[in-house]
Amino acid sequence: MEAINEIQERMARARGAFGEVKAEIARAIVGHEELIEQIFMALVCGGHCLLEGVPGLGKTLLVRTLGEILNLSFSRIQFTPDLMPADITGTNVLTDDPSGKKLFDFQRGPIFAHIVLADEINRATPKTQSALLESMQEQSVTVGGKVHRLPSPFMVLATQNPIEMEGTYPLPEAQIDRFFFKLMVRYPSRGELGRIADLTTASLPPAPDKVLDGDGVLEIRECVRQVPVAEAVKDFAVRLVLATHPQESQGDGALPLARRFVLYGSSPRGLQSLILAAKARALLSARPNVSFNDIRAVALPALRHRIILNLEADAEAMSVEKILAEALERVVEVP
Amino acid sequence: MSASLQENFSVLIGWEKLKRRETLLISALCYSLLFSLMASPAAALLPPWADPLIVPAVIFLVLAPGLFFLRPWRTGDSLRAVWLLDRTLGMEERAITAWEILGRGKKGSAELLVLEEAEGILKGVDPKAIFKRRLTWQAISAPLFFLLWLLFVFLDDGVRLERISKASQASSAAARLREFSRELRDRAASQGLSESLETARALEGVAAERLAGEVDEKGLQENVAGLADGLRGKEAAGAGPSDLSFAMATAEGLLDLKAEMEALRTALLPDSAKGQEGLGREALERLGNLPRLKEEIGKRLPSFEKIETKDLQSLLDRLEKEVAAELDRRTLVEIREFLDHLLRGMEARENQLLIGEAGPAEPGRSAQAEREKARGIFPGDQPGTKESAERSLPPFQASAGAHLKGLLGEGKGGSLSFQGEPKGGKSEVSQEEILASYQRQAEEELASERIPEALRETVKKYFLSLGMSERKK
Repeated sequence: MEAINEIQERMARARGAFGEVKAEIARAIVGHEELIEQIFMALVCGGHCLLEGVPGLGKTLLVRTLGEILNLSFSRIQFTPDLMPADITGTNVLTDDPSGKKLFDFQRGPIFAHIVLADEINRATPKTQSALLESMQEQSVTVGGKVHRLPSPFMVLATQNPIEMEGTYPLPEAQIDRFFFKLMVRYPSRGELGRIADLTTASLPPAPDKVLDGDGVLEIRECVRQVPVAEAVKDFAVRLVLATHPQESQGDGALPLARRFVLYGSSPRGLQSLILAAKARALLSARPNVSFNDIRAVALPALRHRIILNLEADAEAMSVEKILAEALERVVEVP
Repeated sequence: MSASLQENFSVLIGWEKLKRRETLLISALCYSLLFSLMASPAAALLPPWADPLIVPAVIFLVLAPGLFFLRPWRTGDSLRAVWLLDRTLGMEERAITAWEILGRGKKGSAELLVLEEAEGILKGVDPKAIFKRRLTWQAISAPLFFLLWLLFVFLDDGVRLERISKASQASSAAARLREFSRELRDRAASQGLSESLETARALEGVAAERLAGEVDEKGLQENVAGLADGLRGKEAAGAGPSDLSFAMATAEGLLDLKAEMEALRTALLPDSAKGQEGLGREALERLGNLPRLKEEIGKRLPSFEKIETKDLQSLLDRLEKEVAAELDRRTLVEIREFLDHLLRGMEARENQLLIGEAGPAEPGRSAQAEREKARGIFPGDQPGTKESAERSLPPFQASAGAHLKGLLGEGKGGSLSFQGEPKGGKSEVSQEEILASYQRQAEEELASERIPEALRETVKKYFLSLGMSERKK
């Protein structure tokens, strides 16, 4: 009984923290409730987010606000074509010690922060983009043969602009697969635009309060991983991931759209993201178990960047969203 | 906590299993009736022993285990039942998660929380009330198919009665053949009739094949016809002029003659033992008391008083062989007549069935068939109907002066044979009296209006000529 009470309390704390984060962000950001929830889910799952949207939608502001209210270290890296990997990870600098002896001292790059904003990530060269690979996956940086651990919790929030593609470098598949979620930042509604105008043209709002620290985030992470998933629900997620493959034959069979337009389906990381995000969603919904609806709700952000379409899809203007919608419609919960 | 939740799931799964079994049984019943209905036009192809009533039962007995084999209750079915419970009660997969957690060993705090929440929701929930029996199309169709099937089977007299008639016909013809062949076998064995005995065994085999269902009615008919043809062939082969004087005698006469021969042999034994060449006194006396044998020997040996014992014995051997051959021949004729009669009966039944299949018979045709049946030379196995125009026979009284008066009618002649225990001793009526009564009867008939006046003299002359020829003999 005590164990139940304890888990109930922890779950209540997690929900409370999320409520506070949402409320604080709402003071600086208008709308984007779903986006905020998804970023928080990625945070408590230990994942990274790629935010995509046209300029001026508040992507950078959102991430910066999140960094401020979380009582965590925050750094912003503006990706440019001339940015080098060492500019991100840090480099060994030749220095003199007090005795006058020359030695290499590791100067930490901006990646050494809890929350890292990789702004316009697709403007850097693939070489520089790949500097994030190890840090995102292993939460460590290796420079000069020495491994440097990154702080925990660690989260990369990258933004990219879908237009103005000239002079940009699309993220390599290995890089993009390491993002827990790919979130699309939508254009604000009419009412939201009005509120944005009020908020940003009047006197500056007070700085948001810090409502959650690193330990709090890690505790929620632990709590998320304890949420049980039924085999049937897990099997549904597995079949959903398999359904994105054009030559699928193990689950419910390849879907017509996937067979025609998909070049490569989701990787196993997609399934991991799906299950973990569903657990986080269940927790934030005050439910101790994962439901089919949780899987459905997180399928799009967790899988959309992991499905590679073929040339025919480009020609037919087919989107990943349509393919995933078909998968969600056709894959049955319990076969 | 776990126990009550476990019970909830057990009740739910048990209920779903019961519903599944019911559904499968109803489906099997529905499909059985449907297949029976579809197959009802082919009922004529069924073997005679297969009653249409058992067809759906047989299909059901095959189909039901097949359906249970194809759709056994699997873990996935239990999962689906629990999932449905989740959906129905809006439990957001708490039930399905709790059901799985119950099967695990160690449970974490979050898992215990799931169990607690699931138990709280499922408390007081009756799965039978939530998941009521559904009315499937099979359940709706089954009574309809049953009624249709009843209409097809019970109201279709033709199909049913034809089957019953076929079955009874099959059993009666084969049974009669077997009964006849057994009697024949006993008789042939006791009288030493080798060919008759062999034929009796063949007949018994044919009857046994039919009764065992190894051949159908047509096969029986073909076998019987084959045997009858064989006997007819034998008759034709032995139809040459016979030099036996007893060829015209009755079977009883032949049997008497055989008995007399046995008696004489017994009397001759002491003479042959003594090595006596001529007949002894005792043998001659005995021969004098054996009128039939004496007559036959007299025809062959006019001066038999001087015959030697050895010659007489060889004559007796020859005579005995001839008598046995004659009895065998007559028995074979009797068998052939029986087989012909049996075949006629079977053909008549077959024709009746064909008429029944073709539709209601014409009144005249039916009456004709009845008439023909009534005029058979052997009694049938079903009661016939009398023609309204036919007069009934006068009551037969077994007295000395009684006459059996025949009736004349159109078409083929008819006869009745009476078989009874013969009365011992000499006839109480003299031959002259019988002849006189027949003559009187003939004259009365000649005087009646049934014979045209112009032809009466011709008929009278014909009968008188028969009498003269008999007297000449």
